[in-house]
Amino acid sequence: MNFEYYLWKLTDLIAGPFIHTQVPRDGWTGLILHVIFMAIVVVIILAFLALDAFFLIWLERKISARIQNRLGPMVSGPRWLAKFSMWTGGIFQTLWDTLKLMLKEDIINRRADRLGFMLAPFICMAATFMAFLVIPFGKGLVAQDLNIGVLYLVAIGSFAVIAILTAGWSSGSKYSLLGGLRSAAQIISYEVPMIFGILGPVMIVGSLSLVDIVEAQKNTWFFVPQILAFLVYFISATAEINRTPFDLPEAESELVAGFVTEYTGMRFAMFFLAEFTNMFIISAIAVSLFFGGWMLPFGLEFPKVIQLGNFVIPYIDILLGAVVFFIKAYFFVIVLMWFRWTYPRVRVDHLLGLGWKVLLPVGFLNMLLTGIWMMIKPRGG
Amino acid sequence: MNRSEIKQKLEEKFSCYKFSDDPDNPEGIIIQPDALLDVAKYLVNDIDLAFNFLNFVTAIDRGSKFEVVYMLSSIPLKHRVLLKVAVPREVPEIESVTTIWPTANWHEREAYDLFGIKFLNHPDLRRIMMPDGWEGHPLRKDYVHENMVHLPDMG
Amino acid sequence: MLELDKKSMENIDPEGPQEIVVNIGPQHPSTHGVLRLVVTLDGERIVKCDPVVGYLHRALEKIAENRTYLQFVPLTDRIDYCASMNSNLPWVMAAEKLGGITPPPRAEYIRVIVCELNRVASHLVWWATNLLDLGAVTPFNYAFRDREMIIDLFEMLCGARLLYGYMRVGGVSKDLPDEFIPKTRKFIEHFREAIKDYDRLVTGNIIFQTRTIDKGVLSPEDAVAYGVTGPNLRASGVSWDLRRDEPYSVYPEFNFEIPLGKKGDCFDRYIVRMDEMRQSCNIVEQALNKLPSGPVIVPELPYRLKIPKGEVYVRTEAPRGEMGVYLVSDGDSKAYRAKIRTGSFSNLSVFPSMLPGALLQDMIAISGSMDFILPEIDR
Repeated sequence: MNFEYYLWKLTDLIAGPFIHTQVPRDGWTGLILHVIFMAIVVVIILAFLALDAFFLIWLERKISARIQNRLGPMVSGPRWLAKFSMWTGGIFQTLWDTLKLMLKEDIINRRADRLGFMLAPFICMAATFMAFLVIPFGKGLVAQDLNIGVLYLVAIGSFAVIAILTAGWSSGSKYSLLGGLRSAAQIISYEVPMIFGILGPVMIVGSLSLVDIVEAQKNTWFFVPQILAFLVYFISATAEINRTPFDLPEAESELVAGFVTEYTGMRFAMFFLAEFTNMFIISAIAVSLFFGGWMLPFGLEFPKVIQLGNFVIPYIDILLGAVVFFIKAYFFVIVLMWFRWTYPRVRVDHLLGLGWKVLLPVGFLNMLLTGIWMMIKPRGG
Repeated sequence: MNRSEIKQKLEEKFSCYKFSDDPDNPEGIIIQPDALLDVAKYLVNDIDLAFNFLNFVTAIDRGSKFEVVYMLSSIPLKHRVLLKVAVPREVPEIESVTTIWPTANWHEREAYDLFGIKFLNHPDLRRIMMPDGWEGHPLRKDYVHENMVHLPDMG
Repeated sequence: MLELDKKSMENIDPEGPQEIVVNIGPQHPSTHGVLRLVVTLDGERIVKCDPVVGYLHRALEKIAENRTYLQFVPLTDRIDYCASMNSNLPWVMAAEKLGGITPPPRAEYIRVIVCELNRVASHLVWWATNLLDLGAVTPFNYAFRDREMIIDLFEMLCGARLLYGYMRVGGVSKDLPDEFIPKTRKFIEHFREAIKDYDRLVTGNIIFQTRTIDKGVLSPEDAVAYGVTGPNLRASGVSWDLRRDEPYSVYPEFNFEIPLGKKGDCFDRYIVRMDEMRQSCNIVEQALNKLPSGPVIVPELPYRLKIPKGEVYVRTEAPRGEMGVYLVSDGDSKAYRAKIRTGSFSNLSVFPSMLPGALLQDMIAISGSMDFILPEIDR
């Protein structure tokens, strides 16, 4: 039956890897179960994305407060929780902030190019969330293990520049335009070194699939042989997502807010959300490429099942692997926040100079060294 | 160097101009308007005077005339002098000293804005404090504005 | 499309230079008040900059002609709200000098103490905002934490936290409260450690250094010709500090150094101000040690003080350069004319000549390092 076939295909595409081993794959019962599972998985992923961004915004405020000798938001949340420490206060802050942004008037500048102005936040958000398709959160916990995963990520990453340029151009403000232009220059220049950073692990593994790359790090994380690649990647990625010290497109002290100057309400919130989600994505990619994804160091492994009396809890290794993955990813997110609250902003020509004159040659060098090592290493070893 | 020495030097150099002590100010020298540029150049360039620093240019409204005031100091020699030039109220015009002390540019703009003194050969004589279309010159004693309030005299 | 846009589109010459005019300010996060900079940009490079001031013009000099000498003291606070004590000082000194009044020695010492503390507070505001302009947010909080302690001291002294109106013709309004001296000593002790933290956080940072070293160089000749004073002048290597070169109050009794820069770039201006904060701490400490006892104000000065006919120009070293009052009295209880000379006014006038060829980001760094304060420019 054609309809049934396409439904199977569709569910497979999104939720297949999670469930295809656990559900019978025949008849209408199987299909209904399949659809339910797919719905659950999609809801989980979307809910996670939203919660993750919410949590990151709250975390950034708390970390900046800690760095700056402040308490951060303390009031919007259960009062009794706020009594314990600064880390338990104001836990609903982002929620109320988002509600406020939703209720705000959506102002569109008279000089703005309406279509571009309205579309830009959606492009930005879509580009960001599409990256989640290939990120392996745990063993088998990947929405779609594309065999060109890394290439896909790079392609999706350069999508954001279109959104920012659209926003900058269509806002009808000179500040936005300058922000958009800076952003275009920045993202284009940093894409190249970032790809060279990513190339290191790809060369070693010989596959573009993120799952393959993670699994190849069973014994040694690529962080060790590919330290140069990691540094090149991490610095370029910070610039790619416009975080301080490379936040030139939205430099508030020069360009007011760069390409988001004219945005209000939910459209502004979408850029904001995209920025925080991006932060998580580049950390997740860094973990997958260089820090062994969901795996423990030194080839240690989690038990596959835990037996509690008569009870057997399955898939415990997948669950704990995901936890490990998130701990690693959040570590890098915190490092990014630490950057932001410590460093001044670099100048636009220094930024481009760093990208083309330092990071790119280092990336080349790393590729060369990796190539030499692959030539001389014993076959199959 | 104090005032009398500076005045003596000026008198020796410029026998054609008249210099007199300012009765109000122990460091003030009153000079003629047409002597201003010559005197200023001499004050800057003479090695014993070296008045390389112009503190401010301003004016005083004395009713029938304006007194344009130049406060000068010398950073290397650590002395100072005050030049006063009287210009008539009807034709408040005087040469600009911007070419000698670039800082005079803004100070003269301010004096022009607030007193209406016209500085000749000034590179950019626009209002600086007041909006462009403002009428009148606020620091003149006869300036009136509808919103001005004079405090009652307290004793 | 708006009518205005259509017009400007018609005037575009496709072969000509592609310049845009950007209005930075009057409301802009980096202009520290209501300064407006009309900047012509070629890409990110600055072709021309025209500062427009006057948005804060309150005609203080006109008001001074309509107030008694005492009544004008609170208004002098508004000349430079970051350093109110320093703005009080030239006014009361001018009135004293012309009126032949000598304030008691304790008052002179207290004036020095509060002025130097306020200099530290003012430089802290500069430090915070300068780095905010450069994109570093965290230093702001550290600087304001320490500035808060100084403000608390002043609150203890006169009840106000920003605009103190503390000085009087012939002295100061109140004697120091008992706990002021120990708390000031404690603050100095704390601040000497804090400033080391500042250095660790910012001064050695490579991004900060590349943003400031060799940027916005102001040659000593230009600085003097344009009437630049204060730390900006000293950063260009000109050793000129009125506290030493034209001593007023009791400054001759203290040992302090005048920090000097070499090149006159943004980094030198930064270093000079940082060192000045340290020197100010030394001065406050010495003044606290030598503080004499006695009255703090000349007794029985009339409220409606009449000052004999005459003129005087008194200048002091305020945090942003030479702040002077040119006072003309005709023998009445009000000034006939008062000209207030402020540092920022001349400092801003040199600013456009430092810009052509610099990047937009440099402009922000330079204006931050020059430490303009707008009420002082507009008065």
